[in-house]
Amino acid sequence: MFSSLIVNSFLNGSIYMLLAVGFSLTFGVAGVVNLYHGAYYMVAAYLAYAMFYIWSFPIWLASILSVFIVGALGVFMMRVPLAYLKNTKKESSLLIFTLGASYFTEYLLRLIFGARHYSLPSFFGQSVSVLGETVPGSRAFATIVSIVCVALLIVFLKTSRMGKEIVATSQDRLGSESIGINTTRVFSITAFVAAALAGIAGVAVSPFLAISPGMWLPALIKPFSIVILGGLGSIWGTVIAAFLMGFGETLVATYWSPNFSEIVFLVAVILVLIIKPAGLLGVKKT
Amino acid sequence: MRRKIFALFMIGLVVLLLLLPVVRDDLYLLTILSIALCYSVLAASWDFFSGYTGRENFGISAFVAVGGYLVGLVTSSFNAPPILSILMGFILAGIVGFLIGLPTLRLRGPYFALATLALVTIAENLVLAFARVTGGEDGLYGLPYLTVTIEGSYYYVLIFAIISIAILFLIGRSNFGLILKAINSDEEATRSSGIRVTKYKLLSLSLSAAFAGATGALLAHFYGYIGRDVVFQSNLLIIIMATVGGTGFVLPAALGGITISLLTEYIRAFGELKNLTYTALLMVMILFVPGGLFSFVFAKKASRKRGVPNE
Repeated sequence: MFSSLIVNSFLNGSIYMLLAVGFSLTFGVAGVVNLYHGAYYMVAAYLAYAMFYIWSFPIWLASILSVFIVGALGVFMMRVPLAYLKNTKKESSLLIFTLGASYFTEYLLRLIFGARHYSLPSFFGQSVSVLGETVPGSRAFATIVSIVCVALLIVFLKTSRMGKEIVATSQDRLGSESIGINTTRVFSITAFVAAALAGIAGVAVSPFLAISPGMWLPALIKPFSIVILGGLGSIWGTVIAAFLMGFGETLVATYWSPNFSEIVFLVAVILVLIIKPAGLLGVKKT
Repeated sequence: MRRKIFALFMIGLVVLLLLLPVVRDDLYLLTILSIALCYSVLAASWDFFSGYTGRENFGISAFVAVGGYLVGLVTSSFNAPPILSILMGFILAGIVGFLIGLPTLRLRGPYFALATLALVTIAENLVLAFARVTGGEDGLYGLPYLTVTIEGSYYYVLIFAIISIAILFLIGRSNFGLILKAINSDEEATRSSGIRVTKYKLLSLSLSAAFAGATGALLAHFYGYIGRDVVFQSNLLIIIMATVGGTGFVLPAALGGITISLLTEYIRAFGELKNLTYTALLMVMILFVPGGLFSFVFAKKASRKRGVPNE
């Protein structure tokens, strides 16, 4: 029982981490709270489904293509409507716009695919044994993909020139511009990375979680809670918070009721907001 | 001048709505107008907090749910007139709004918006988890109607709407509303001029939630039913109504509520396309008509701004 708890919370936590890192990055770098983040996750899953079953692409090609298309969608959102709304200096209209766009995408997908639930075939059929627990291969695969992606992102931010430019922009936009960093390009790349990471999460979970038109909302609320818990702009805070949330949620779902697992997120958020508004590892921005 | 014409228009609209049942004996029209009026109160109460303070409340249906499901609870245990459960919905939703705002409103930026978005999901999960009280998926049927006739219910809703919108509008025009707008344009400056910012935001949210809760109770009595479809599907719609009408002045948002609700009746045939149309409309409005359809009446003249440095 206990080892299943640990294994399941680790599996859930890794997916949350993948979603939350992109969300946090977009906010940290571009100062944009993109409520469309959950929709990237959903669109990628539907695209992969459509390419695999309708146009019968091989599964690996369908997955990679859909992740790239969603990344491009992320760049488009950042460059066109979000950049325009950011210039009007009304932060609140940006929130309503991205929320409206998420619902628009949901209704569009509902129109095309119906309210039915879909799923992709497993990427990795063999089930594996972890801590005496049998884990389906697709879930183990999703976990490994998440961890590899986040590790690659950290390495990219720490070592590459582009990554350093992204970090510099998140610390001081004006300062970065004055030393010759093209911040518009930085925003585009950040948007691409964030959307692609959400897309990878969406494709990776679709063999074992249903692809459905309402899937974007939990994929938005959970990363958001995690980002608040971990502190905005802190990648390590996000990683730790993601696993904590995965643990809390699995604990409640196992011992109480799955209906209450989302409540854990809000209660945790409210507690953190009261006790330490900047998050567990966050730095207070002035 | 524009304001005088608008005031005349509003008085004319109210007189028209009051006389309508006498002139036309169309029960279908009265029903959809009653629902439209309920939505106009919801849009106005959303605007009273979010439009004034600039903090987006994405969870107004949670407050509607408080009022609506309270009716089910109250009427199952004792026989109370609708006015009593509406008042109780008002008070209870106000308290819930206060408790939600207490931790979340202290923060700036998007935290509040996202917390309220989570709030709706949680409210919906709670409704499902406590199906014994709320009816779960099916909802609660057989609640007592407002009055025995449709005309009577129409007048009930109309008077409720006039009173609620008038209260919200008048408070919005008072110093209280002015302080809320000051908070919207510069929270730090408002704080440093000695105004207790959090107190005003909390009061505004509680009042907004209270009116949403009262309307939830009213809707439950009007339909004789309360369920997830009534409560939670309206969440985004209320925001669309207020944004399309125009935020920050109560009346334009209320007019947006009436317009969109009536429009809903006429594009019902669109089915699934209806929601798509609304969300597309919302995005287009934010990008190209950010002030909304009706707020031009209250907007300052453009010429006055000339020569003033950027805000």
